[in-house]
Amino acid sequence: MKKIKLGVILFSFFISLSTFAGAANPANGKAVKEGYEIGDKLPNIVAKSIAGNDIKLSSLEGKLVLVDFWASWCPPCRAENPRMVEAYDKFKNQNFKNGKGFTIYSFSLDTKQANWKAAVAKDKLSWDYHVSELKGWHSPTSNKFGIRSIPSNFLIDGDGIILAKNLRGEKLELILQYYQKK
Amino acid sequence: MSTFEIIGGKSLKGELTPQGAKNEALQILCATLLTPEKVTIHNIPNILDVNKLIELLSELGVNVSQESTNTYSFEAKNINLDYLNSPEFASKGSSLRGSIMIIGPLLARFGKGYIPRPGGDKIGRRRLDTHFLGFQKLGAKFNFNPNENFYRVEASELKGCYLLLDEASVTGTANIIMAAVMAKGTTTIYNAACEPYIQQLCKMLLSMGAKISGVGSNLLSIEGVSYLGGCEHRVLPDMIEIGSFIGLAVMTKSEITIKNVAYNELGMIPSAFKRLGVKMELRGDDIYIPRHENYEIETFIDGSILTVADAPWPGLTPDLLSVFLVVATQAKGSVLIHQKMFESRLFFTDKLIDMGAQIILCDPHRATVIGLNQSQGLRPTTMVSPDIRAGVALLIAALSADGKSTIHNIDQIDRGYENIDLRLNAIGASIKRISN
Repeated sequence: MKKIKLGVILFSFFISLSTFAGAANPANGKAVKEGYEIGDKLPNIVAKSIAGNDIKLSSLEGKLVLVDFWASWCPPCRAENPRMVEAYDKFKNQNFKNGKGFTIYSFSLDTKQANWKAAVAKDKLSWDYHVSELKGWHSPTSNKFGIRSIPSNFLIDGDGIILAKNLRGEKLELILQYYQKK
Repeated sequence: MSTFEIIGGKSLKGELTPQGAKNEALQILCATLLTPEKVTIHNIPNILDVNKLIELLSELGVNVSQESTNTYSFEAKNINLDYLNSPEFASKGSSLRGSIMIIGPLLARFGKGYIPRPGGDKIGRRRLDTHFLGFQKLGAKFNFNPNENFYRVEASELKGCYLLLDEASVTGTANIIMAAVMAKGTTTIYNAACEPYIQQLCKMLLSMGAKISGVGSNLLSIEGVSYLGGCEHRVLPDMIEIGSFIGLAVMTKSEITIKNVAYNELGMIPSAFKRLGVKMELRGDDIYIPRHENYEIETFIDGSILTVADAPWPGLTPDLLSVFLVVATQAKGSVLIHQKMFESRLFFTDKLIDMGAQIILCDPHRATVIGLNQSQGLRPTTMVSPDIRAGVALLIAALSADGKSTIHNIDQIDRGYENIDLRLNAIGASIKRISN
C-alpha cells in the first residue's frame, strides 16, 4: 500500500519536475523565478526568533528545509507536530540528492509570545528555527506568501527550490525518503 | 421592511475595517462538510445569508461552535442525511442561494446531495446548469422534479474526468471542485472561475490535504484523495465592501483609511477607481483615501470616452459597477458604464437622476454618466433599495446629498454589509435605522 502511494507521489513529481527542468536549474547558471509553485525558488524570509534574533531562511541554504506555517492556537497544526518531530529526528542528519541534512523552519501565526513559546516546548519542536512576527493572520510574511489556511508548508531543496507543498500526515516522510541518498 | 434615515452632506473621517467576504464565506462553510475533523474559520461576516447557512449546517448535524465574534469551528462528524428530506430543509434551503454549494461536498463524502431550488436577490436569472452538468460528468445521477422544486443528485462513486464548463460560474466551479477533491482519479476543469474566492477555497482544501494544481488559473487539475483533515482558515476581506468604502470616501469628500485590505487580491479594482480620477495610497496593507475636492475621469488613449465594463475575474467585478456609476456622477468628464453580466442592475439610475445626476440609461446594460464636476451636489430624496448592490450605491449617494434622505427596504443592504449604519456612524455619518 505504501509503495503504491509512493508511486503516485513520485509520478506527480516527475510531471512537475520535468515541466520546470529547463527554467529552474541553478546548476545551469540560469535565473530561477521566485514564486510559490513547485519548481520556483521560494522567496527568502527574515523574522524574529523566540529570543528576538533575526533568523534568515536563506541561512539554511544547502539543507532540505520544510518551511512550515502554523500557530499554537491551530489544533490541526498541533496534531501534525508529532509527525514532524518524528521526521526531523529521522532525517536531520541524512544526505539527500539535493541537500545535506534536513531541518524545519517554523513560522508561527501567533500573536502572543508566551503561547507560542509554550507550544514549541510542549510539542518538543526541538529544531532551532522558530520565527514569528506575532501578528497572527496579518503577519506581513504570511500575507506575502498568500497563506490564508494553516497548516501550510513548502519543502525546499538546498537551493531553495520548492519540491513539494502542503505535506500532511505520512506524505512528508514519503517524500523525504524519495530524495534521500541511498 | 426597515428604513434608513440619512442626514447627508457630512464629511467622514477615520478608519474602516472591511468585513470578511460573504461570497468566500459561503463556499468555505460548505467545504467544512468534507471532513469529520474540526475546521475553524476566522473572519466570518455576521450577515444574514452567512448566519442562515451556519444554521443550516448545524441542523444537518455539523457541530458548530462560535469561538469569538467572527470565528466559528465546525465538526461534520455525525451528519444527519435524513434532514435533507425534511420540510424544514425545503423551506430553509430555498431561501438561500449559497446553500446550493452543500451538494458538492455531500456528494463527495456521502454519495448524495439534495437541495431545494435556491433563492437570492432578483438581479437577472441565474442558472444552475453548470453545477449539475459537472456532477453528471463526474458520474452522478441528477433528478429535478419541478412539482416539488427539489434537485436530487446521487452517485455511488465519483470518477475524475475532463470538464469544460459552459460558463465560468463561481459557485459552479466551487461546487465541482468540492465534489472532485475526493473523486477517484484526476479531474480537469477548464474554463474554471479563477477569482480570489475560488483561490481561497483551493488554499483551504490544499491545507486539508487535497491535491489541486493550477490555482489562480482557469485550468484546474484535481487529483482525488481519499481523506481530508481539519485546518484553520481566514476569510479574505470583502473586496466589494472595500470598493464601496472607496466610493463612499470620494463622494462624501472624506479622508478614510481602509484597514487590512489584502491589496494583492483586489485585482483591477484600485486601477478602475484611478481611471475615474480617484487618488489613493497603499500604506502597508491599508488603503488611504485623501479628501477629494474634485477628480477627473481619464479618457482612452485616443481621446474617446472611457468605458467601465464588468467581466469575469480577472476582469472587473459586476458587483461594483453601481459604485463606479455613483462616483462618476460628481467627476469631471464622462464615462460609459457597461454592465455586461446582468440585465437589470442599472434601473436604479432613475433614483440618481431624481437626485440631480446626469445619466442617460441607454438600455438595460449601459448607462452614460456625464459628471457634474461638483458644480451641484446630489439632492436628498426618498427611495427604495431594489437590490444589495444598488442599495449601497444609493446609500453612498444619500450620504453625499445635503439634507435628509430616506431609503426603504434596507434589508437588502443588510444582506451584504454587516452593521453598515453603526460602522459609518462611528466615523461621522448620520444614519438612523427605523425598524418596522
